[in-house]
Amino acid sequence: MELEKIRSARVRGIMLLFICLLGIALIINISWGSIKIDVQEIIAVLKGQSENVVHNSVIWKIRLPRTLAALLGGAALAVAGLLLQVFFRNPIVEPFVLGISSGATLMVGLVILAGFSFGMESISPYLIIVSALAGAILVMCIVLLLSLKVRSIVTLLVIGLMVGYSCSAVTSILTALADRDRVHGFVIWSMGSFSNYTWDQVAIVAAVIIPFLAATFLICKPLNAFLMGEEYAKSMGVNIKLFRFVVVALASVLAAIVTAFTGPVSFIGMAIPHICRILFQTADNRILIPGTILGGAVITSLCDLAARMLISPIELPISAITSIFGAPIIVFMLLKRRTDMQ
Amino acid sequence: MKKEIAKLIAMILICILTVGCGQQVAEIDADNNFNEAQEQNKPAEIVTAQVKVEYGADFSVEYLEGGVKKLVDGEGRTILVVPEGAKVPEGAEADEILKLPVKNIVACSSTFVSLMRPLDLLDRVKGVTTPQEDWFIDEIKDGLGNGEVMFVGGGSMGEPDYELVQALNPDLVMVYTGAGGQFAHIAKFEELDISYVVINDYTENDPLARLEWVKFLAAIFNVEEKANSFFTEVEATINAVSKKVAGAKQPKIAWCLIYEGTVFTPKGGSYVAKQIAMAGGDYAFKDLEPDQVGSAQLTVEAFFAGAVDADIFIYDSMGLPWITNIPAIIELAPALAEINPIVQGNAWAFQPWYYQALDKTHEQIEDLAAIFYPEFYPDHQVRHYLWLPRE
Repeated sequence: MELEKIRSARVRGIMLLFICLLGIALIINISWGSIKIDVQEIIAVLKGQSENVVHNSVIWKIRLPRTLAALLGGAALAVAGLLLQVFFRNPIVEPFVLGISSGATLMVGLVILAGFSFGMESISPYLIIVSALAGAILVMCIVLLLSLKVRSIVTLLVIGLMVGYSCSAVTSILTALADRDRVHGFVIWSMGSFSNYTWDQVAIVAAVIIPFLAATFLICKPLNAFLMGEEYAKSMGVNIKLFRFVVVALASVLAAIVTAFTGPVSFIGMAIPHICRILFQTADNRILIPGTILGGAVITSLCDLAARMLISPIELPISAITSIFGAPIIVFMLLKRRTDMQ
Repeated sequence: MKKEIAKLIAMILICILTVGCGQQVAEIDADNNFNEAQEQNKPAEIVTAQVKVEYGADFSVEYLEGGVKKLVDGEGRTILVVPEGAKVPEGAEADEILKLPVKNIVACSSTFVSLMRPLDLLDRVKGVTTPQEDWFIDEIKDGLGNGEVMFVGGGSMGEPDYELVQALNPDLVMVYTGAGGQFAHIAKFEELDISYVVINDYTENDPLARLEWVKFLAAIFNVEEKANSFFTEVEATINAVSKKVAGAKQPKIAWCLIYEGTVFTPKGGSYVAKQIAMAGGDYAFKDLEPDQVGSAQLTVEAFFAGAVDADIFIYDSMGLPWITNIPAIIELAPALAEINPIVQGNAWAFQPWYYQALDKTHEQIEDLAAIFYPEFYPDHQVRHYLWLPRE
């Protein structure tokens, strides 16, 4: 009973910490940038009381959409990773293990590297986004269909990996055949960035991510049952076929929408669930889902801040920052936990 | 538990402080923008000459009543250039309405800046996406040093720092599109209400069509007369070169860039292939996709087969490390040690400023002719290519 109380206090404490950090991340993302704007002016801009055109534009049209995109994108990738790690019972699984990112990359490769404009007069940002989304959804549909037919989860994982490899192989061939300007443009896309988000794009991303994140709360219980094994989940009344479909669909859509608008962002989907498990010291998905949402949002937005500020005005690839800052944190926490246990 | 939370906070604070330090370096004052409004209250600029597209460059300029110009840019967007004080013609539809004078521009490619040099418009460039150390145009390099020009990030086709671009409050941003283009920038510029034009000189299949974009810029800045006289001079120089070398035995030319063991060589329909032909060269890969622009990827073996009996080798240095001698080429692709021009010591590479000298296209073609036919140009000093010594 005492132990339960301590655990409960720990969870509440860390959740509160995450909420505070989320607020801090939001504030510093809006406050810091290449342009110096003092706090009073920022408040005036947010209240609509500033007449400085540049400050209004920087806060409302550059920093805010970007910050919100990073918060939403980070939350989505982290939860997608958590769902798949539970589903595959594999801690090194990430949202792109089912080939989502590779499918998106292949379709973008077809546009940028091979010059397919799919009937449009020229390449536009929207063509890239639609192509990435189409690629991700196509792969997702293949995996979903197979998830209904294949019994073994491991087989499904291997199929996902194979689909990913196949897409990557075609992308490599396209890269090999493309001229250098196209290859360069493609490499830039594949680095991932939150910098180009417009309000329209944030609205689309939010309209997809928020309901899908909310939906993940509805499967907390079957996810917990699944932790004990498929047979146990069945005995608890979980419809395994439907459950598989829902988990893969939720994770895939969350990963696909972020990839389509941002490009591939690595590390977050794999690492944040780890960090949350270590911090919360639990496998209970009722705690981990809100925890990963908050953790993913906080860490991704801080990494995005670092990506745009470290050697400003040059922007660093977001995936590089997430890995550079995140990997040592995870290693440290894992080692620390082991030491504590000893 | 408390200790762990404290450590986590400490780690995050370290990250924040690290970022904060970066911020201090990058701070600029938004009020110190370059849009000097008072300078814009000058008399209306009058159209004194007109430009004509002659080499099929992918843009158009149409002169309307009242000094208004209708431009179509590289993305097919219609831009109305309206002189100060003039009215936009009734019923005129445009993707962009650009009011003159245009005093403050951001150029998202150093090539665009080179096109502004012959028009004496370098003082209008207030933001660039190439850092100071990579500039070979003195006015821009100096401007970056003394703060008159700002580096706004976005080098190597990456994203610019939109905050810095916004702070400059530019009258116009110049971008390029196409498969490897800056299509992602465009949506953001539209949201920021920043005017932009698309200049796709790099997709042209003729060096003169590429250079012809100078006329597009001239129409924006009302300096058509300068553009016309500059272009006439360029045409005359190139025609004189072609005339001089006509009928002579053509040397075979191999031309490439090597990256990660893959050879990129210009396609048969590219402006490079035409440039070689203008200078009297016989391009070794002229039959490689003769109706396509840009470059093709070849294996070293395939390039070797085409270049083994070439007379002259030209290396297209795109960036660091700049190639300054033959061993550097051989290091990139050892098999090339056996091709004739390398054996004969007849290998050349771009000078580092090559891609910032689009306005010197005529000089580059003249240089090529001098390299191909040294007997015709005994006293010529090659300016834009570097002869590669054996050591």
